[in-house]
Amino acid sequence: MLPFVFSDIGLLTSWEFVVFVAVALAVYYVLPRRPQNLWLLGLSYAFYVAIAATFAVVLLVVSAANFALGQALQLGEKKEKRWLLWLGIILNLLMLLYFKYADFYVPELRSLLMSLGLSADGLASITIRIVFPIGMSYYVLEMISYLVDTHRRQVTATTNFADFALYAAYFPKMLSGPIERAKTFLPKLAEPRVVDNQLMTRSLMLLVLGLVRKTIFADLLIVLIPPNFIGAADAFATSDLVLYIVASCVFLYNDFAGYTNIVRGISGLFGIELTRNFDTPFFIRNFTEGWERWHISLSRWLRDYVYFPLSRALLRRNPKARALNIIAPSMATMIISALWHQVSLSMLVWGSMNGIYLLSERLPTIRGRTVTPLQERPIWRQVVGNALTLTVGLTAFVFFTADSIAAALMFLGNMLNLSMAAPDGRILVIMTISLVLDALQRRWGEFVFVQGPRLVQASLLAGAALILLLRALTDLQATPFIYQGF
Amino acid sequence: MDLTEIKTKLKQFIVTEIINDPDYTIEDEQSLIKGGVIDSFALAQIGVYVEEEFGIYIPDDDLTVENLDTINQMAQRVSQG
Repeated sequence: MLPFVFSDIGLLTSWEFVVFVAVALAVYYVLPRRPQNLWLLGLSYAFYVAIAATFAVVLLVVSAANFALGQALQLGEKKEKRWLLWLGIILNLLMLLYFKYADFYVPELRSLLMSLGLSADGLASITIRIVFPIGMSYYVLEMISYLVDTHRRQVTATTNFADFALYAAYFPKMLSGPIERAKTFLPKLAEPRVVDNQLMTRSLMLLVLGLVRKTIFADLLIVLIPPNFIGAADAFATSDLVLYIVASCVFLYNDFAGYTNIVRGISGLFGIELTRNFDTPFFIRNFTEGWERWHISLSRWLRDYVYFPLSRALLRRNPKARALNIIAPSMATMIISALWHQVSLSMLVWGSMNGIYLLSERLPTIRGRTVTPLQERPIWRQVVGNALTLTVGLTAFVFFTADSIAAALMFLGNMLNLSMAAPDGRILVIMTISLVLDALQRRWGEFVFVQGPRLVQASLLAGAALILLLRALTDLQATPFIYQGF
Repeated sequence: MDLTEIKTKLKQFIVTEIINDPDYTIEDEQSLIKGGVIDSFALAQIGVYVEEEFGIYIPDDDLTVENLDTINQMAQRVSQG
């Protein structure tokens, strides 16, 4: 089970959070610019303390250490800088390893000590005490990117600790990203922020769309999908298993894209625009495209700080080793992505499968064959590409969702029964509406819902508000965002 | 080296080394990545090629679709040094 600890304020759809944001905005708008940053910093730490005070202490220590390392990287000599950078990366990774992977390494360590005939009693209490701070997986990546960019001279290390601490702690993005870069985020804190009509409209659209995605689509889907359909796959018909695994993926998408839209909307109201994390991922035509459209801020981080450096180093070293130069970076990147999510064998299988999928699309390049550009392929090939990508992608997704490899394999084995049952129409309706929204955004852009005539915009807003109101009146429980557990 | 020469070399590299079709014609303003001609992973190859051919290092962070989607953008980036 993924580690979760939070009070209701950590649930962005809770009333506590709504009140928190309303008060935050009211004070923010009357403050002059410089105190605005301090206000946001204070709010962010108050928000984190409300979830768990110890998490805030860990964040403060991480921020202070990286701020100091950034200063040293800015001012140090060339030779020093290299080891300072590695020191910073290692410290950040150790922090993540210590907190995030305790569930994995403590039992291993215990059995190792016991096999050596040593007492492992002390380790039992350690497991209880190590609780993973929510958001750490995200802010540690931000810290590493800050150090690397400072070393590359892509960023000038800031001398303003309050701004730097806000970069790490900014409450809309702290729990589950988007993973922001200091290069683009810090200048936003230094510049005057204007919330004009356009930004206000876009932000409110994101907020409403996010709430619909999360509280309607995701929260309803999670209730309709049987909780243990993978573990108890033999109790379901094949057609139901297909429906549930597709619905689980649509649920995860609406849950995470909904969260991202909500925080981007809230942040926009403060005049700070955050990175987009999803771009209509069910309309992809191959895996490379999928990589660029799902959890974009993580994909780009992995591309810029793992794939590109590794790929370029290999290409420089031996440009002729075409296969190695293509295979190693893709596989390493996808395996690191899997480990970032969770240390488990089934997650490693998920990462490896995605790595292999990416490689399969690069096979023609390795063999020296002509690659027809994606847009120039006939429509039927693009449609088949979409269907194939989603099918094999969902096969890998079984390993992402399952508790173990055995459970995933049993699930896939049960798929071969080819038995049929009447589908749950409610799931089909929700998935269809979700995909129609995506299709509109795919065709006319992310902000399609605020581009049409005023009457259409007002009708859409009224419709969404009514649906959300009805949802608020139901006793359906709000579920925590899944990605807060990573 | 002038812009025309840089563009010719970049086009040559992309059609022979990335899409493996020397007969493919690339326009200066053609959207290569957004248009699906090459994918963003290929930017690593372009980065190393630019480094070796023109002696210009483009940082990983600058190897983005926004910066290098067309031959014109790539050539401009190379000429900036």
